[in-house]
Amino acid sequence: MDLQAYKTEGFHDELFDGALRPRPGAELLVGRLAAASDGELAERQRAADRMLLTMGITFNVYGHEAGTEKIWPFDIVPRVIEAAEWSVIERGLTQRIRALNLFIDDVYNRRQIVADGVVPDWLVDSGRCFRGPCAGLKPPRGVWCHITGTDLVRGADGVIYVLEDNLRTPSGVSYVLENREVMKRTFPQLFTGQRISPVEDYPEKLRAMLEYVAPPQARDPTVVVLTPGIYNSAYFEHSFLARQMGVELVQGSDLVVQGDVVFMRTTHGLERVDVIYRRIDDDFLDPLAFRDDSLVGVPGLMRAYRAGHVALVNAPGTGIADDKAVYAYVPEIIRYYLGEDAIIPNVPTFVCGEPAQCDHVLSRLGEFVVKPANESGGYGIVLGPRATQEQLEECRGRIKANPRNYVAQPMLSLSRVPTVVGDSLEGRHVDLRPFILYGEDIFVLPGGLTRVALVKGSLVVNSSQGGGSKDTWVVHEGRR
Amino acid sequence: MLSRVAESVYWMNRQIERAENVARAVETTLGLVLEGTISPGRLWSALVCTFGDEADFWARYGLADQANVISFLAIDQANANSIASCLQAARENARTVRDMISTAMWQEINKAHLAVRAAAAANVEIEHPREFLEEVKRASQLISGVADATMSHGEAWHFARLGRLVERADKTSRVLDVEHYFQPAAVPLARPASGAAAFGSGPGAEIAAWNQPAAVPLARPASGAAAFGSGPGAEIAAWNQPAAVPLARPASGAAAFGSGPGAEIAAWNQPAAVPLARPASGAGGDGDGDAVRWSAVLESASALEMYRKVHGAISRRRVADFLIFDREFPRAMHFCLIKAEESLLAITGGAKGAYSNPAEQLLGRLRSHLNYGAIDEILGAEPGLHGFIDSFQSRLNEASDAIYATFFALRPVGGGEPAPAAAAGSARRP
Repeated sequence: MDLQAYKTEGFHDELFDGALRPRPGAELLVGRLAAASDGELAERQRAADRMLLTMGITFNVYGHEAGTEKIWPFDIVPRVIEAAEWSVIERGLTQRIRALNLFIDDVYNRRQIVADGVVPDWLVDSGRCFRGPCAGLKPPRGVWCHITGTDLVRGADGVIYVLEDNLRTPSGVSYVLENREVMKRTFPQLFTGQRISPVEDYPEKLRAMLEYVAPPQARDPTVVVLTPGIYNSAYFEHSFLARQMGVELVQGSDLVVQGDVVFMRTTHGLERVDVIYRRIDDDFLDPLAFRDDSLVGVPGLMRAYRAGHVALVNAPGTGIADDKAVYAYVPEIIRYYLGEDAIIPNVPTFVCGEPAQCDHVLSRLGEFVVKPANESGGYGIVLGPRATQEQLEECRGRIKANPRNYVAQPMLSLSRVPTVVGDSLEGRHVDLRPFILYGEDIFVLPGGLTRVALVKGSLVVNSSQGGGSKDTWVVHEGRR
Repeated sequence: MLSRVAESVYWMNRQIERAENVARAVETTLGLVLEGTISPGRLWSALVCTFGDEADFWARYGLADQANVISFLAIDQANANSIASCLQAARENARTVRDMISTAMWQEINKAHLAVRAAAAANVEIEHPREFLEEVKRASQLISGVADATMSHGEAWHFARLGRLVERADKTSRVLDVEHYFQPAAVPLARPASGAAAFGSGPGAEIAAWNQPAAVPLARPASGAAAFGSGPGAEIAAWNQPAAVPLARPASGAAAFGSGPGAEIAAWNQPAAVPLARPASGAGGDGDGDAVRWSAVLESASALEMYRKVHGAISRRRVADFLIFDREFPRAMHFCLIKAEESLLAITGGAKGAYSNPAEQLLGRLRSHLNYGAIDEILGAEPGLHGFIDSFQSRLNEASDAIYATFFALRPVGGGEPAPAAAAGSARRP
């Protein structure tokens, strides 16, 4: 196919430079795409779509009829990251997670960082995800944020920024693995001769981490994945990970706490559980400790956790570190705990909870992207430059009513990756969510989930709002 | 394994097996319609009754013709036992246990569900149902084959097999019982959930009447309404339920005839309805038409070829013998129970011939009932084949309930559960 017809349109393209030369690492891939015959891309895309349907790789959309599953659109042109650049990202993420874990441990225990005035106390105490009941906790092995999915974006300047930290129950890793599988099956030629970092060992690493953080007295620990059930948007992933690790997928009703020990109900009676990879938000985890109307939680779970009889992954309370207002302080947090500069920069962020910054945001509202501090899934975001006057005024009202709950960032021009449209390629905006495991040491899964805004010109990559995904290759120099 | 998961695996397999059996029975009926000795209306009506959802059918469809019955049994989402509903439910169950079953098995279940959903949307399958039915059968067999070949034959697999075999035993018994519904006597027949006392293992007289071809008139006697009205109140209530009226109400000659157990029993009580002579046990001999019908029954259970190898010529007695008592044919009721019990014992670690829970007791007792049963005892004595089957089905239901109570019911926190394991070495935090 004729790649000279492709247009970068002034955006940073992940596969091509401004003169349409392949970027380092993308040479082989671009060569193979150029060699594709007429109709081949469209045909392979259709084959991939069929496979996703057959494999039942779906997600649920909230607000639709219960059980409405959607195939998450997948695009067959991979996103390429050269190994040299990846190793910088890897170090940057490792640094960030280490610092955030120290931060969480600190705010629930000594609160030294607050005492030292690096992070204001109002910011911590008013955080919607700050969990009072977690004060004084020391999770097994000192790890709070075992699994993190950090959102990265590349701006028009070609620099990679951290956009968001997701330290509660980040999802998407199953799609990383399934996307690779679908790619191998539908477009195997693309892989020939390439040295691409494997992703297939993630479940192995995940299981090892979960066993590592088990309470010390548990020999041969029993690990489970706790899901809210089949109507949760990420149910596919919950079952996928349990299956890949070979552990039980449980629902709240399968677990029971007796004498501060957690058991699961089996056909042969009760069986003790040592580690729970929970995919239920803190709020719903234990009706006795958090929201008492939770139907998906396990009464008494927090007591068992405080007693040191069970490990919860991630630990309750980690949400304080993915508060978007706290995010603004992460470069300071890294410096405070590690004495290092952040390797991956933040997007410049204005915290509306600080009056001076709030005034600045309100005076130039139309230039900013305004985000609620504690939402995920892209909900509640206002893109200033694309908003109507009415939307801006409504947004202004909400900020004034609760400034603590909003942050503002400049509108980024996200990088793009060629994406199949019919039988040709057009640029579409992407972000990147690498996954980081914190156990005996910190492991960053090579690549991560590339989410793509499939709608032309759109910057919204969320699966719940018209986004799709791509396979992500960390490509090493030299042919295989 | 988790109780909830075990239950989903069990039901998922029952649902897939059910879909397959419905497909088989519809196929067989299509064949019989072409063969032409029994009126299509009676055949389609009998088919609805075979699966016991006639009340639901009559509540929503006016006529038991091919299009309506196939629509009801194959793609009607409002019918919980239609092929589409079964496969949809099986897939939902498969999703909830996605971590327990192999990827290959999941994909086959997912594909079957997608195919049926597409067929239901296109609606053409009603007119050309054979390929569709073939597809459903093949999907079910594929799923079972893939499960055998890709799942460890551990607890989950045994729950899967238990579900399949319990369902299959029930469905084979229903297929065998279809003679009952072919009979003119049984025209309005229904086996309603309420008022079932008169049936099943109940008194022999009614059952015998039920089995008599001449026992119930095709058209209501002239004095009908009044005479019927003299029956007990409960029967009148049944009579008053239009939903229970089977065969084409407005269209056929039997239209005016009522239904529900009350109606039949009332009819039996009419002098005109009592047969002058009662045929030897069971209905009819082994005439030509019968051979066709009984080979259709065998076909429904995919049993014709295997039957031929064992028995050769077709007769009612031998077909019933084969489908009830054969120990080697995989759709025979006896075979199903032998293997179901094997799986049950593999799950509990129990020993054959003894029991340690109600599921083992009831399933084992039913299996041993077949071990020592004989076809001539069934056919030669009250309550006859239909009565035997009815009793078999209710005992199988009891065994299934016991499986639920033994393995799936979430036990209340408290009695019988292990004491909390020692928390040695774990420092309690203030």
